[in-house]
Amino acid sequence: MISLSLVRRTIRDYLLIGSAVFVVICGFVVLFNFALDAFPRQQTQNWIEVPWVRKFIVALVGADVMELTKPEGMLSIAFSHPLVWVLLVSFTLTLASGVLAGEVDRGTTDLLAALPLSRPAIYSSVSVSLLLMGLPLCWAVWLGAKIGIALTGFAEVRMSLLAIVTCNLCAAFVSISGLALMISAASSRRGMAVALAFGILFYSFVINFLATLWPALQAISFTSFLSYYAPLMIIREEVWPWRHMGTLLATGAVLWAAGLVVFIRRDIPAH
Amino acid sequence: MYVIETRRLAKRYGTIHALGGIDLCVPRGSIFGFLGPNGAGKTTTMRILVGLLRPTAGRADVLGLDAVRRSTEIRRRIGYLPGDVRLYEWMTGRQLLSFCDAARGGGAGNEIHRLRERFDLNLDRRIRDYSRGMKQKLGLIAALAHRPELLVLDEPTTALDPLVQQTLYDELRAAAAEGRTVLFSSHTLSEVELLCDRVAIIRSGLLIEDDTIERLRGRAVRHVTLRLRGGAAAGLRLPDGAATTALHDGEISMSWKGEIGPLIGWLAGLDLADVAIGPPDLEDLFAAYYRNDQDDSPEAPR
Repeated sequence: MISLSLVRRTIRDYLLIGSAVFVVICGFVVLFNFALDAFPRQQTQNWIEVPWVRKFIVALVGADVMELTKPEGMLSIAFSHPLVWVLLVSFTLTLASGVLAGEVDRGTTDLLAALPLSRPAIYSSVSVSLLLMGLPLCWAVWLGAKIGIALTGFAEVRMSLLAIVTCNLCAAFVSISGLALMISAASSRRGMAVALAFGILFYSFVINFLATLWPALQAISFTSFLSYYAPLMIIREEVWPWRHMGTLLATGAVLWAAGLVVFIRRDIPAH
Repeated sequence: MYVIETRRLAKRYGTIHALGGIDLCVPRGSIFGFLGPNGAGKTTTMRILVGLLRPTAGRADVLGLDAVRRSTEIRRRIGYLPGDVRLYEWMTGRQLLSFCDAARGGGAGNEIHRLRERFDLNLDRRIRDYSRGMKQKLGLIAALAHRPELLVLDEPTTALDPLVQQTLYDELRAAAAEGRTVLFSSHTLSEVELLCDRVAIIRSGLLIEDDTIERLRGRAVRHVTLRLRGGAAAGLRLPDGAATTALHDGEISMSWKGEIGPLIGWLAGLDLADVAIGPPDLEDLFAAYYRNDQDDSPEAPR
């Protein structure tokens, strides 16, 4: 069902960019630790008690800053930081679109089509490659936090709590991957696939952001995958977000399966 | 036994009928030429055979297997060269062939080495640095390396120089001699005539001709030039099957359609000063098919 040679080739093709993203995310979180360590906490505390400032920060980081009293809470901001998301989403879209829609776009699918690889095998191999390369990127945030804490002695942090947040991030990544793979499987143009997937993810971010500021949008905020990614809730309640993770994983699985059906049934046009 | 057999194979793109229900049979061990003007449906047929496209109607069997449901098994046993060869530009030729070999389960190293020598291709350069002809050679090696039972080649001689074309012809002839089958499309009629046992012509998604080269030759026109002693050519009565194309300075140029015997018999009764009989000209026959496509005439020349 999986072609190891295709998995190897895909990982080799994206290893450089994947490694770069890993290092940047990890490095950013290490620096974030240094920034937290140098934070003038009392002055900040005065600012964030101002209601509108507090609300705006909630919208920005997806967390109520009043809950950031725990060091794990402060560190969890890194897990919601736009830079981390941009890198993670960009990598996911790059790989997912590059090896399905991108192959059709470049005409190299014909080469794969000449090989005895079934379409489910091609799709599964790409999916496995994406997971093998993407999940470590999620753990790069955790690793960065651990390295940063070790270097700065920022605080006593329970890494197990941050590991739960990382698992939630991994579930969100699976969901995004399912979406990206489905769109890529149905597309013959890489640019179109990236634009469509990006548009849906952008909608997700915007709805999640605006729903915090504009209560009327809360009725549809469930359509954003970020509604099921809750680092601060994990830190506050110290529990596994099973329902959220289940929703994300189930969504990812359904989208992935839909992509598989589309990819099996579609025509591969001549270039 | 047919290696490829299609029954009322049709493909529609929206309102466009790319294939209108073709019945194609390719015998085992043959070199089968697939001809037709641009957009006639050659590539669509080939892509259905290798599982890239799904037919709208009809059925295609390749090596006795359903081309839609068992395409993976079919691809294990065939070699396919697309019309427009696109390869992973960042790989070297050797890496690409290793990747293809690994995906097929390995074991083609010796054949890759032999074909590399035959086609004289440097496999250590990046594919992005290859010329178009080199990419075509690499695509051919990838298609031939596992010694497939059936080769499906979409315009394989594109961008190849004449020497390499000759090498390819030799390889295809050797494959056919071993009982393997070759289906290839081409626009170069001379190479089809030179290489193929059988030819099918497709036009506007319909198969309008499917016959052996020998029988097509029998239907093709010969060009005949003759000069009579005394130069009294003007009043010459031509037999059935002949048509005068030019009369110049006592020399008659005419075309002859049909068996050669009656022509020889007719010529024997003339007081000839000189005569030249050309070989059957398939170019004319095929050109007539192509012209009819442009004229949108419903009648194919027979």
